[in-house]
Amino acid sequence: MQTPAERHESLLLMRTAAAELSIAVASLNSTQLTTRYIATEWTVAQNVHHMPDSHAFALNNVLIALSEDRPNWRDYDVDGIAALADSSCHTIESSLTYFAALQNRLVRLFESLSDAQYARVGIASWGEFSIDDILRIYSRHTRKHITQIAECLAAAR
Amino acid sequence: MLTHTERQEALSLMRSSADDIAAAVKGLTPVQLTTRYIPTEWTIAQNVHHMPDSHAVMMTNVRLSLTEDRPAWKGYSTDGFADLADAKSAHLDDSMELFRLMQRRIVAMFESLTEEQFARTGIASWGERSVDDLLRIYSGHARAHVKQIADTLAAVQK
Repeated sequence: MQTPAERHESLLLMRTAAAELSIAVASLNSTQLTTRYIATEWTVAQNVHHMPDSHAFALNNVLIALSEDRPNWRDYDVDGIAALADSSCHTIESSLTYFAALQNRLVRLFESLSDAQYARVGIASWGEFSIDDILRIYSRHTRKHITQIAECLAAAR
Repeated sequence: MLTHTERQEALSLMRSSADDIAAAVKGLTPVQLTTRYIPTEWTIAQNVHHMPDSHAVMMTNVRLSLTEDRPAWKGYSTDGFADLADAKSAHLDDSMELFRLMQRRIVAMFESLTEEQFARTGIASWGERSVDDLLRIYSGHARAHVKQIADTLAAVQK
């Protein structure tokens, strides 16, 4: 389990994630957003759309773990979803605003939880994880993708 | 499968869903929002928080059907979700804003689909359904809860 200080830090990262993502992609044009500058990586737009898509899965999984005993968390095909038309298009504004609202909701949900609720678990294909683990992992998730976005843009130069 | 006209109607309902919910709860007090006026039904606040929670599951199920063949869809305990502390809160603004922005994404997702994609299916606990079925079912979902909210308020006045 995270200490109270660690949990506080994770919640802080959750709160700033959407703003950090918006800054990372501010004023990019549609070519920059949709060009695959690194052959093995997603485009910048795919990274952006992935944030709310994946955090919506996280919200589902947390709610399921809060309301069922040791539920199975479902895997999904991240690359398959990122390749869908609306998950790769250059119109990122709706995903950015949706992501901000989703993060707001996630923070409010996490803030409402007791220690017993944070300790509840779900079973992923990669092992058993607590809700506390989900908070820790997803609080760092946006920065990973901001790094990937920066690497894409660096490769474009 | 839905006809083109039926699909347009369903998308139109999806577009107005968030406004319909917002109009239904406009001006209500925290007591009205959080009192269980009908013992067998949710509070009004629970109805509102249920909207983004349930549509997030629907959206992820569509994604699963588009990327896997006849996947098992996620099910969930609607009452279990609604019993959580933050699903009972009288503070509705965050959930309504999330629902509004989520619906925009959901509409954009459906608008991007081909006929073949609308025909793709998933397996729910209640049977095999298509992406088209999810659009049809969830386009009427907000109105069903607007009606439940109206029924709850009518019970107060008795």
